[in-house]
Amino acid sequence: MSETKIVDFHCHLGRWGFPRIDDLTDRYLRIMDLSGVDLACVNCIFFGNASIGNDIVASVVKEAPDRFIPVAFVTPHYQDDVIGELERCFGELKAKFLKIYPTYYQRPVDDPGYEKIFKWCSDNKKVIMSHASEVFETNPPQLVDRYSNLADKFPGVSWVMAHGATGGRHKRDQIIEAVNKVPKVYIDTAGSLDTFGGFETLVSNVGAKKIVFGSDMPLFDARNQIARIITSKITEKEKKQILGENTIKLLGLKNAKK
Amino acid sequence: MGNIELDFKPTVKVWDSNASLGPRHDFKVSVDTSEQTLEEMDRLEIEKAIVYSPHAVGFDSNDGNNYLIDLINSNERLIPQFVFNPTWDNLEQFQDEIEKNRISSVRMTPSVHQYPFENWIVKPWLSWLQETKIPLWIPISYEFLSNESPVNPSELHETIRQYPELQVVIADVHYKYSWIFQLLESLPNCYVEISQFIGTGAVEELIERLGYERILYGSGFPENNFGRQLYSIHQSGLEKNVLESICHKNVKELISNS
Repeated sequence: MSETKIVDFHCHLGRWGFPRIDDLTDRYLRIMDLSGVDLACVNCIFFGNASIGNDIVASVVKEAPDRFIPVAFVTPHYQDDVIGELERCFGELKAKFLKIYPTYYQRPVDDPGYEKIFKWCSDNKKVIMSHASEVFETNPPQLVDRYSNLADKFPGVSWVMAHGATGGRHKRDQIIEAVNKVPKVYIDTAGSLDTFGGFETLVSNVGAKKIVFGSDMPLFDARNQIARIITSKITEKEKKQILGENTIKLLGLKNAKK
Repeated sequence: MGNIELDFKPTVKVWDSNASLGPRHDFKVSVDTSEQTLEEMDRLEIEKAIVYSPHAVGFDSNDGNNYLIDLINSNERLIPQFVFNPTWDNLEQFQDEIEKNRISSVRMTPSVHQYPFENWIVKPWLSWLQETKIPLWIPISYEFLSNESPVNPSELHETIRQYPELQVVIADVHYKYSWIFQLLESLPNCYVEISQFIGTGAVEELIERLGYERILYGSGFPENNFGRQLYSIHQSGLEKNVLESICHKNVKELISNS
């Protein structure tokens, strides 16, 4: 499609029986090949003890280092462990960004329980991917306020709202406002929800530069997810930005040419 | 490594087995006219689409079905599918409407209309459908139309097995409903529509376990895009006859029997 690699920003590893998620690396790579994905950013969020998941990530990356990019995961349930694990992930394991998962913590991304983690990431200028809001929130703030506050408190962090660019109706206006008003906020395309014209609306309102392709693989098939971009009514230049160029720039990836 | 075309077009004839047409009461759908639907079908080279009325599901089947006929305005690329509610509609009147409008398939929505899918309710209707060979679409859930619980799989299994000649399309099968494999293996008269079945490798697994003859391409348009699953199955390395069957032959044969 171009000389630039296609990078999937939002991928998981590990086994999860209920939605039929297995841990077969060969199959993972086969689906990536069929999808056209060159590089997958992989995290493992399935363990209460985050280091177990991070070790799984490291072992899979070792199997195919030219195809997988390691992503760190830590949980605020274990406050005493988070800094050590962050240092291990971004040092020894060479993680390129951090994934947090507020659903497990049952507190939203701006909860004080995350402050120690975010402070370390801000000091070290890291990218953090997280859900922007959660279904358990009874009275959530507007996303622009949430991310303005986070940006003020943790200026070194770049934020990626997971599932922010599916094109579904849910909070679409709030997402557009937050991405446009708060610097260093990006959105990824992973998700089951969609609506005709929704993705194009996002691209025209926030600009393709703020959107990164993500699949949520293996929960969702990367072919289905990449189709959101491939079959949309946006320009070829915008498609290339979303499919790889933006992530390569955001993460500072080297060897990004095929 | 994978390689993809940014300007996707299907390589086989395509009939969409799961689209809707018409405005909704609770928000403005992005496409609600035949003209707009056909324009998008042209863009992605969809030859025909089976369409039902969301009003018939959300409010009243009779009103919605009539509205659908008006909207289609005899365009042969849009194949009308009538909705019925066995707890409210009159069977004889519905039979007349089916004959008058030459309807080739019908849809019932137990999850939205909130009745158990059990023989003491559906027997006259299913007996008639079996006798006349009119295929029946049953969506598992309507997440975009209703917050009601999905159809009880045990009710589906127990009731459908009593009508071995009735052809049933299980539609809108969410990726998390893994029991669909056992249901389809147990009921050879059931087909599956794949718009929401987007887990990694899920369609290939369906083909492996069931064969390709009972799998139907569908989109969920306009609350989803025509291109998502269409692109996905095109990137699956399927033999041409398998792709043709899933994309149009299976559904064509199904609705031709009635």
